[in-house]
Amino acid sequence: MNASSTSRTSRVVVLVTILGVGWTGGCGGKDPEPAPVAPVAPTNVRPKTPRSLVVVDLSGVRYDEVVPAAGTVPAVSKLPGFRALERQGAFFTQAVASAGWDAPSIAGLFSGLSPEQCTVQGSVHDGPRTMIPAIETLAEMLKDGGYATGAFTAGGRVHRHSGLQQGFTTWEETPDDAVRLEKASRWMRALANDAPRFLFFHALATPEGASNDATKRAARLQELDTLHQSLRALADATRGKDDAWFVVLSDHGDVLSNDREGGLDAGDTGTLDAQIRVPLVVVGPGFKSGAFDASVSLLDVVPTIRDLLGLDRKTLIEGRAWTPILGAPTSPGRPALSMAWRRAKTSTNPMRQRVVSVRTRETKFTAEFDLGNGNWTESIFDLRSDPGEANALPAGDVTRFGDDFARAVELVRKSFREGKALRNDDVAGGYFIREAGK
Amino acid sequence: MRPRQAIPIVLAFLGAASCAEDGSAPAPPKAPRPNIVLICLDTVRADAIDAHGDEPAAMPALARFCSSATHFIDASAPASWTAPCVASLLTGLSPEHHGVHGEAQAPALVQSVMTLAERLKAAGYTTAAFTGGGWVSAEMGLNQGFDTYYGTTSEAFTLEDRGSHLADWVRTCDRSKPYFLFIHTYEAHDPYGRKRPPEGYDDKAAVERVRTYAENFRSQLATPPTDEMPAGVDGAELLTRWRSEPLFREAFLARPGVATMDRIVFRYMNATFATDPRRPEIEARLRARYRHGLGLLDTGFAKLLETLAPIAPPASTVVIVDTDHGESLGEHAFVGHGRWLTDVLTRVILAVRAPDRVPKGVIRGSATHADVVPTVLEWCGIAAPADIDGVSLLALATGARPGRPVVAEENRREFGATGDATLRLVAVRDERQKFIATYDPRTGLASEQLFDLVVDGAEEHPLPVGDLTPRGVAFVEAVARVRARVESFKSEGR
Repeated sequence: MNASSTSRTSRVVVLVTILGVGWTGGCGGKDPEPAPVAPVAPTNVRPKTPRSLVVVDLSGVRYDEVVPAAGTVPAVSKLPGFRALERQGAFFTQAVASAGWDAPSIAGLFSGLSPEQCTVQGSVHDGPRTMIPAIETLAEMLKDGGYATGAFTAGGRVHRHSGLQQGFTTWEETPDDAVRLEKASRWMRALANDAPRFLFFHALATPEGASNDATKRAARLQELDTLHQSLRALADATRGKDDAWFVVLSDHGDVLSNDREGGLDAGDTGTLDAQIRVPLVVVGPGFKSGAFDASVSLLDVVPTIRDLLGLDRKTLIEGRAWTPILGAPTSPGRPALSMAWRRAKTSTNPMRQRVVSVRTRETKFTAEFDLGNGNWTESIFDLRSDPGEANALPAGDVTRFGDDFARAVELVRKSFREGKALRNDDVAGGYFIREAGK
Repeated sequence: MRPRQAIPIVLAFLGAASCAEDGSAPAPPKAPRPNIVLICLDTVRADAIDAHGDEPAAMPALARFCSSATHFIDASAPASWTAPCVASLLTGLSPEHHGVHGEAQAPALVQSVMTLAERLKAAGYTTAAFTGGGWVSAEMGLNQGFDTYYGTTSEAFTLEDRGSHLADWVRTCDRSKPYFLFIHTYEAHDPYGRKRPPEGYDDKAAVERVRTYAENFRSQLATPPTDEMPAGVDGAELLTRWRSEPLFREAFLARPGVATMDRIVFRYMNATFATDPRRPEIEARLRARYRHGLGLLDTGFAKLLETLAPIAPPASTVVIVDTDHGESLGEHAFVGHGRWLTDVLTRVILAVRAPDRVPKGVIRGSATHADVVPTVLEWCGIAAPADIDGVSLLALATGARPGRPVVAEENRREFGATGDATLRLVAVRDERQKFIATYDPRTGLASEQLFDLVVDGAEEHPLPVGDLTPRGVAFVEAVARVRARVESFKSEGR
């Protein structure tokens, strides 16, 4: 269904609803059966002030690679593009991905749903999990609102059959940055000037076959720094400087050889900060420049954009809009959940271990659940004194870290106790938001 | 979730508007919305209601039900194990679209998917489910929309329980509203025979023997347990007892877990069973035990209908019986279900008792689990959402449309010299033929097979695929969709 037909349908819904009410009164008869109650339909799918959205995903770039002050990795270089972003936009210093690898994390970015609710979970080795059509994506939402939607990805697991393509009218996959940039540029320039657009541009910090050798890594970071500047220039040139929200992020971090987790078989197998803490910068209307030290999740992007556009959608969303944080730079934010899955090399049982972390800017709770024996272990890390998460402390009573943190931890423990997926109805007044609509 | 809910609202009110324009001719009174009873009998082969030579049907009560109902005899499942099949039954979606599928394990149904229970509850129905737990547990997300859901990993419903939990619900349910009752039972599932308490539990010597066997077995397992058969273990004996002795299975419930044991047994079958000289006697033993289990189930099924009788008058109650998938009893050297898409696994019993709502009799034409949701919604006066995969069976039952080819998917772990891999199988089936594509991520290639089910119901003689045009437009189009799906696996595998 294209954008215009969907919005037409929505208008028809309103009209026919009114007609339907009128008819019932006119007939004067009382239906002996309660009328079937259809699920609530979206009431506002068109933003009043449609602003464009450009999301640049530098997949695999760690937070500590772009922020010199936090640098534990020698690859940090000047990265003038990031330095400029720091001056121009909101730089979130405590942003985390919902998973440590691209498929579930991008699915969360697009849907506002955690991996177990957006049907993309498991480790890289577990084979594909496709996001199902019942999940509404940001691209679908914006397309319904009259946006042109285009995705330009480096391929790999971000491909046209992954379910991530839902809502994009243009979807291009090519591993070459320059070719991809050229295609995105052509797409942007071909659109009418007044057409709001959502561009998703995806690039890999470690392209297929490349190594993470420190020198090569530093060079690659420079390339990516240039790339997002080119996209910024493109966005400014095609629809005006003040029109778009320009977002630069990474959907996950990476395991580099000098990290504690280097002994693991893949970077997707845990929820260490190296794997889930990511750069996130937003430039555009409503985002004051400066550092925001609040704990946020990439799951929050969908509700934030939705709120900023004034879209009134009735869907299940687990992220939470940043609106309160933007007005209060010292806000702590809220605990963010991340997940990982490990597979025992000796077993054909995928997802042998399920790892869930709850992270604030000060503290991280990490639990590792063994699907083989139903047991799990818990650790607490003090991120201020132990950013490398080398000294695990016993978790025990976590209420000392605040109610929000304790509720999120209880959500995890309950899901482990009961063998359930993390679900938003598990804890009364709990972590996830369940919005109307179902 | 996509805003697909708009369409039902539009259709519902458009129907109303046409009445208003008519003015003098109000629409005929709607038939009262019926109670819906959906009974899912897990692991029952389609031939469980057939006599075989001198041997009468294993499930005579179910056979009587089917002969008094509308029996869709070409129905088949969208997969060959419980989780994806039941999820399709309760959502109207294919496994690809509800996401509950995998090789012998599956994630829970996500909350963004609307279930039949949610739709009926929103329309004023009381909703209740009594299930055998496991893959049909609340933990699997299938409790969405149910006011009452009995069936978790720790508390499971069996037909023998009906005297307590189900009967309580029957006694106390609100009869001022229509209800949707979903019942699921594992009675026919392996280990074949009575499971609670396990047959033989009062034979101390037998209990001691299986305990000793289990302890010996455990002591030979690697730490942590792997899927390799421990040295010195007779795979044929393990397979037979694992599938057919509830007491034996009970001895392994602690550690190693069922999943590990199931994989060990599967590896034996994959590697050795086909050529084991004892295979005929093993199969005979397993068939006898499976039949024994079906007999127990049939008795329970008959009593279940009696239990429901006070609240299920035929005039106002639709009863749907569905077997989620079948069981292989040695066919293609496989015992169990899942992983393959042979007819013994995917052909199912689907029968509807709905007097005055659908013609009684045997209905030809392909149908599948996903068709149940739109069928029920049609009976209840609720327009089916446009983007579910099922199509109402009413038009098929009245001859207004032919059957539609049914797509099924499975995953199968293969162990090989070039490494292990999970094969992806996609099949399309109608009443005359079946096409199966098997994708191997190790090679990036898919093999294709075609079977003429009319002359080769056992699927032992694949035909050259070649030009499919003579097999009908619908089938050809469905094969094209299967091939496109397989192409998508190639992207996933990178």
